[in-house]
Amino acid sequence: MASRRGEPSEPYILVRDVTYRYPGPPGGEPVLALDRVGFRVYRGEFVAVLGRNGSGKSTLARLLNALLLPQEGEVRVDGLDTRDPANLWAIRDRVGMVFQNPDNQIVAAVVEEDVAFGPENQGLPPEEIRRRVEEALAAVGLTALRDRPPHLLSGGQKQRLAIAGALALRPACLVLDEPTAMLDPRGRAEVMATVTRLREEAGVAVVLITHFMDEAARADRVVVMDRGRVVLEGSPREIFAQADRLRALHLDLPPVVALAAELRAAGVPVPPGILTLDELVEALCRLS
Amino acid sequence: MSIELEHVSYVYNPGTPAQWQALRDVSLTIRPGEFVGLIGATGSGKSTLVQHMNGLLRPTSGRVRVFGMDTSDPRTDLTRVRQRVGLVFQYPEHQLFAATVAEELAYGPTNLGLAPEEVQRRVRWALRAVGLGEELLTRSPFSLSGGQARRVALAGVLAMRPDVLVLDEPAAGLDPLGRREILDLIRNLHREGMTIVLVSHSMEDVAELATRVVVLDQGRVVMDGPPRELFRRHRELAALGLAAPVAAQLVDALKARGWPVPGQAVTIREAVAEVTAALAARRRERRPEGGREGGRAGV
Amino acid sequence: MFNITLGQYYPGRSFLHQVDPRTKILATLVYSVFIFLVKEPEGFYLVAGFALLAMAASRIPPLTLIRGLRPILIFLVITLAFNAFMTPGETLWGWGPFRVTREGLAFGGLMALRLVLLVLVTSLLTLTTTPIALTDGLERLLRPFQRLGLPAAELALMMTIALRFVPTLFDEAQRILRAQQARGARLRVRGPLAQMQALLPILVPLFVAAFRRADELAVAMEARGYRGGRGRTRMRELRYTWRDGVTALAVAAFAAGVVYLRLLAG
Repeated sequence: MASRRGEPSEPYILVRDVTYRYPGPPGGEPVLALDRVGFRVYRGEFVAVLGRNGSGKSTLARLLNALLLPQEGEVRVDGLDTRDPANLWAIRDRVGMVFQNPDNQIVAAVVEEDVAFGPENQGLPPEEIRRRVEEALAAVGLTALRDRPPHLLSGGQKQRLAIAGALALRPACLVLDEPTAMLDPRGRAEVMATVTRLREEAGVAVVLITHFMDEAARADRVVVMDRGRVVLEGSPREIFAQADRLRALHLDLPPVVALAAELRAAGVPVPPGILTLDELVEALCRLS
Repeated sequence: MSIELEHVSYVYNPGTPAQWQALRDVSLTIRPGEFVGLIGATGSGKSTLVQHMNGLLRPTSGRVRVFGMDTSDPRTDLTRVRQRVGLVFQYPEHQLFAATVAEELAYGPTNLGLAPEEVQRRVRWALRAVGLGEELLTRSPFSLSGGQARRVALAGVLAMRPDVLVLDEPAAGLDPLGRREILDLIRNLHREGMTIVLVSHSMEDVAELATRVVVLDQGRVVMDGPPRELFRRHRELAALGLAAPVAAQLVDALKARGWPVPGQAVTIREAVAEVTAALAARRRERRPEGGREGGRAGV
Repeated sequence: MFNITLGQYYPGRSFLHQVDPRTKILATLVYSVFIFLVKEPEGFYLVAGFALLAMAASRIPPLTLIRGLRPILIFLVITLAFNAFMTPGETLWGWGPFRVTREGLAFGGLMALRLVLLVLVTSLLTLTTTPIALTDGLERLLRPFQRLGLPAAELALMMTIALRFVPTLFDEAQRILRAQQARGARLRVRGPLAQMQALLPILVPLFVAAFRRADELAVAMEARGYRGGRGRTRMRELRYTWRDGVTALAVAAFAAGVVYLRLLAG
C-alpha cells in the first residue's frame, strides 16, 4: 500500500470547493461540469456516486487521480496536491481507475501482459512486476486465464482484468466509473463481488459511480450529484428513504426499496430503511 | 403469422476449430401484436436468434418465414424482409454515419427505393415517433446527447415502417431517465399496433412490458409463456443465470413462509395487491366475527 | 467469436519454438539477404538444405507449411513463365513467336524455388513465434537505436495495441455491417464511386469507433501511469539459451557456405 501521510481521521482523498469547466462549442460558453464541489473518501470506505448523465460524476472521478486538474479549489490525495506536477505519478499509484467500456482499457494482447502494464510504467524490476501480476490476478480470480487473449474473455472477466490492471499498482483507492454499465447480470455480479471482496480483504477504498441503485445500496455512503453539485449525501438507508427527492432528480429506487415504498403507500406499515429482499420479508412477517 | 421459425439450428464457423452451435432446433412463432420478451444469459443464442428474424443470418438447418417469405429461398428479396422486420442492435447509436439527422433517417427508406417525398414523410414521422423535434433534422448525429443519439438510431429503423420491431437491449448504458424514456417509447409503439420482440437482461422491464416471455438457454428455447407463469419459476430461472423480478421473489418468499398469497405477482403493483389482500384476510381471521372463508375472498 | 491471430502462430514446443525471437528475427534477415547472393545450382542445395533443416526443427506438418504458399502461387507461375519464355538459349518448345528455352526453364525454376524458400522461412518465423514475442524481440533489437532517436519502446507498444485491437475492430466492423444491412444497405453496387458511397455507412462508424476507442484507451493508459517509453521496464525478459547458440552456428555456417560458393564461382 502507498505510504501513509495523513492522520487516520483525515480523509484519504479530499476534494474542496472544486469548479471545473469544459471548453464549450466554438464561440460558445464553457460548460460548467462541477460547481464548487466538496467530496471526501476515507481509507477503506465504499462510496457510491449517483446522478443522471451530465451531472458531473465522471468529471469528479477524473479529478481524483489527476487525469483532470481543478480550475478552482483543490484536490488532495493522501495529502498530495494534484496540481503539483511533481506529485502526478505518486497520485496515480495511489488511486486506480476502472472505466465503463471494458474493451477500451485493455492494452495488451495477453491477460497477464495487460496486468503488467502499470508496474512496467513504474519501471519496476521484472521479478517485482511478476509478483504484482500474480497477486493482482489472484485478487480478481483470473489466474487460470492468464494466457488468454483478452478479446475472448466475457464482459465480466474483462472488467475484472481492468480491476487487476489497476490493482497491480497497489492503490489505496479504486475509482470505478460505471464499471457494470455494459455488462449482463452475471458480469455485474462478478464485478460487484470482486469489488466488495477487495474492500473487505485488502481494505481498498472504493468510489463506485453507477446507475444501478442496487449496487449503490451496498455502499457505506451514497453521494448524489445533480448539475455539477453534490445534492444529497448519506447512508444508503437515508438516501433511499427520500423516494420523492430521488424521483425529482430522475433517479430510480433499488427494486426492493421501490417495492417497500409502494407497500407503504398502499397503507402497509413497512418500516423505513429497508434495502434487501430478506429485510422486507422479515418486516412483513413481523406485521402479521 | 409474422415470423415463424421451424426447427432452426445455426452453426458458426462450421468445419473449423472455432465451430460453435449457437441455436439448436428452435421453433418459435411470433404473432402479430405480441410483445415478446426474449431473455437468456450471455451466449444463450439471443443475438443469433434475432438476426434470423430479418434474414441477416439464415439457418444452417430448419426454416425461417417472415410474413410468408422464406429467408433461405434465393428468390426472396431480403430487403423486403428487412423492411417488415426492423432490427435495432445493441448500442445502435454506434452505427450513425450521416452528416445530418435527416440524412441518417433517410438512409433506410432510400434503400427501400421509395420516392423522395415518401422518404421525407417517413423521416418526419420517425422523428416524431421517438419524441424528438424537427429542429434536430439539420444537426449532426454526432453532436447529440447519448439518449438523443439512441433515439435517432431507433428512428432510423422505424423510418422503414416495419411491422415488427426487434430490439436488443435498447436501454443498455443509459441513465435511469434515459431508460424510462426509451421503454415508454417502445410501450407506445406496441400500443399503436407494432409487434415487439425485446431482448433484455432486466426482468423488471420484461415483466412490466411483455405479454409473452421466451427463455433461451444454450441455444434452446427452454421456457415460453406469459410472464406471470414464467417468473413464478424463479428458481429454475436462477439456475439459468437469470433473476426473476423482485416482486415475484417477494410473493414467493412470503408464500414459503405460510402467507395466504397466490404468489402470482410479477410487477410491483401486483405484489402490493397480493400483500395487502393477504394482510386484510389475516386481520379478518384474527377477529372472531370475521368469516374464515372470507380469508381467501380478496385474492 | 472470431479468433484471428496475426501471423497465424502455430502453437508448439519444438526447438524452433523455443529459440529466442531475436535470434529468429536475425536469422530470417540473414537468410533473406543471402538467398539473393546465390546464383549457381550448387548454392541452391545449401539454401534449400537450410530451409529443410529449419522446417524439421519447427515440427510443423509440411502440409501446413505448403498450404501457406497458396497466396503466392500466382507469382510463382508468372516468375516461371516469364523466365522460361524470355531467356535466350536452346529451344525446347516453340509456339509462334513464343519459345521455351532450356536455360529459361532452369533459371525460372531456380527463381521460383528461391521465392518458395523465402516465403517458407519467413513464415516459419511467424508460425513459431507468438506476436507478442515477436514484438518483444523487435523492441529489444531496436533498443540500441533508441539513442539515435528511434522510439523503439513506443513502436513496440503500438504494435502490441494493434495486435490487441485487430480482433476487436474486426468484430466491430462485422456488427456495423449487420446493422446497416438491417437498414436495407446494399453493398454490391456498380461503379467505383457508387461503391465508395455504399461503403460510407460502414466506414464512418468504424472510424468514429476507432477514434473513440483510441481516446478512451489513451486516458486509461494515463491512469495506469503511462508516461512514454522512457524508464519503462518489461515483465517478460528475453534470455538466450543453448538453442540460440546452435541456431547462430547454423546460420553462420550457412552464410559462410554461400560466400565460399560465390568466391569459387567468382
